[in-house]
Amino acid sequence: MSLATWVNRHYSEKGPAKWLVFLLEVVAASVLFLLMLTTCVDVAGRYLFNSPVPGATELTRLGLALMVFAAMPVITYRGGHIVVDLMDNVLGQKVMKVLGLLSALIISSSMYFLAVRIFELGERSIRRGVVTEFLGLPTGYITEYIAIMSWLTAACMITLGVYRVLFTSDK
Amino acid sequence: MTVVLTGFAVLLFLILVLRVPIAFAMGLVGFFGFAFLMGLDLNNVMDFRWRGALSMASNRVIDTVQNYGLSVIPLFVLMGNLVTRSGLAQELYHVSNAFLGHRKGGLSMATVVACGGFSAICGSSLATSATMGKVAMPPMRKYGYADSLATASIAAGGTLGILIPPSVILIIYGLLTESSIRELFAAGFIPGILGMLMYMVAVRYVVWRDPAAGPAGEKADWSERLHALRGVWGVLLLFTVVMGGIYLGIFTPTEAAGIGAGGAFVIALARRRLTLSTLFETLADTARTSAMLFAVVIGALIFSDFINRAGLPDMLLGFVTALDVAPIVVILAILAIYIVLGMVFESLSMILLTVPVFYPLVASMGFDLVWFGIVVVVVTEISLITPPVGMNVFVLSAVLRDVKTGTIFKGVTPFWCADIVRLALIVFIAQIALFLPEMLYH
Repeated sequence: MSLATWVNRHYSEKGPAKWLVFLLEVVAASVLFLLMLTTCVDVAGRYLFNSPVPGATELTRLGLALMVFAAMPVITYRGGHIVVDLMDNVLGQKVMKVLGLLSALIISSSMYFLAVRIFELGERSIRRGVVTEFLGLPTGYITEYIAIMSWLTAACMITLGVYRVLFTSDK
Repeated sequence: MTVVLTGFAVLLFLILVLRVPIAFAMGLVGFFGFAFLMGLDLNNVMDFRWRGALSMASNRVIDTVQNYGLSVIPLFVLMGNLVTRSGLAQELYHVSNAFLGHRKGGLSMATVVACGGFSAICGSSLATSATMGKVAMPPMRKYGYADSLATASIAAGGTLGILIPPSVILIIYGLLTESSIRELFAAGFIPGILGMLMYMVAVRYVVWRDPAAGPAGEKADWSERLHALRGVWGVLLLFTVVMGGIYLGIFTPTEAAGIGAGGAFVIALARRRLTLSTLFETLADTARTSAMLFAVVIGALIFSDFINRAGLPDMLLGFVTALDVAPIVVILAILAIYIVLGMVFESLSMILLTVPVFYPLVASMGFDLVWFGIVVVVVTEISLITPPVGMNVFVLSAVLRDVKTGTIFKGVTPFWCADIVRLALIVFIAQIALFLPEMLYH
């Protein structure tokens, strides 16, 4: 089976969005796999060969941020966050759609404004030359990555997310 | 006090009526509440210096997603997903059935044990109910078990997953209250086993009342039992290494989670359940679940920054002191609140909303936060099978379309009573939870 067929079968998004989502999930999945490997190799190295992976802790922290924020746009616009759905039966389809739009607006604007500040903090830490203790990686870039992915989350939510609310009927 | 109460009212309005995801609702209320405490009011919205509140929230985001200790969340979730993927539920059920099936109500007891074992590794109550629903229901039907007993033992057995370590809910509790995850894991073990035993008593009770509900199955001899064990030794070993390693202090929880995920990966490979495609799905699914959990944790942390800065813990303590009642009465009142909330809220939302409020009070009254964590999780387990919103029951009836939720809820009643007894035991005899952590770490 070719990659394109596989992606077509597994992702219901339309056009380029499908590939964007697939790309993000590939990043998240591979980072998670590496996270698992790093920990295993680190532990095995430490107890069996007395030589842990240098900077495993820092790599783990980095990987965690990479993974969480690669997955964030996807789960957010797909409505993957926990909602309290007590009133769903009372509200009816139309009201639910309006509320869905309102949520999309709230989520994307809060992600946008928060990311502005996160980006500033990232710039500041690059300017000040803050690096991690062991590997000497500049921490500002990962902070900027968080900001950029938050903007992407906001952008996905206000486009794909709104589309999803308007044109898919839930169950 | 007004600020906090208004904050809570807005929060409840956002999540209940406007249906805003709980992570964002908590974050927003926390953020604006924080800004309000820093001098925001209706007249200065335009020229207010937002920087302070924005920095608080930003730093919460930046620090939480890079918190080394939190890498246990994706790794344990991954371990659970890989074990689920490798199709071990069937074998686990087979083993417990070989040991228990020949007793009256034996298949139900085997279900409870298999659910407990499976959910311990899988860590999710809902996934356990869904998986075991498919595995355990057909044999129980075959032997003529009443639907109510059969489904109830799956729904109740599934709840054990959030208590028996490793458990994501315990990790999140540990994070919100800054208590030791290792100790929480140690403390959850005995109450989890106790839960399993009490559910078996509940099965016995049902069968005693109505022998036709749960007839005995065939007796397996020892060679069959040993043969059945061969199918699960890998997972038993994995669980022993992971939990034993944490308990004995050989691994940190993060290392144990990594080893657990790696081991589960090897098991799934050895059982030929992984292709590149299913591996990718499992990893992507884990990443999504983790991102969702990180979002709610960040939201809850921003919210708790706000209520702590507003001085809610002191106010609550002052209020309770003024009431002049024994501390245990306060605990009982808190539990009553949980049981009521549990009727309507989903488990994680309930913990996120309430733990930041209650734990400073509980700690300042001199109770052990590890013990309180176990108590909270047991109450949450109860909420999973309490009508009208018992998530485990709903998931199960979605899997078994021909069984009505009403039937399951009716069957669950004896199990629910067993849970209440267990809760009382843990509340009044704190040693049930604290014995293991004290023995191991003090």
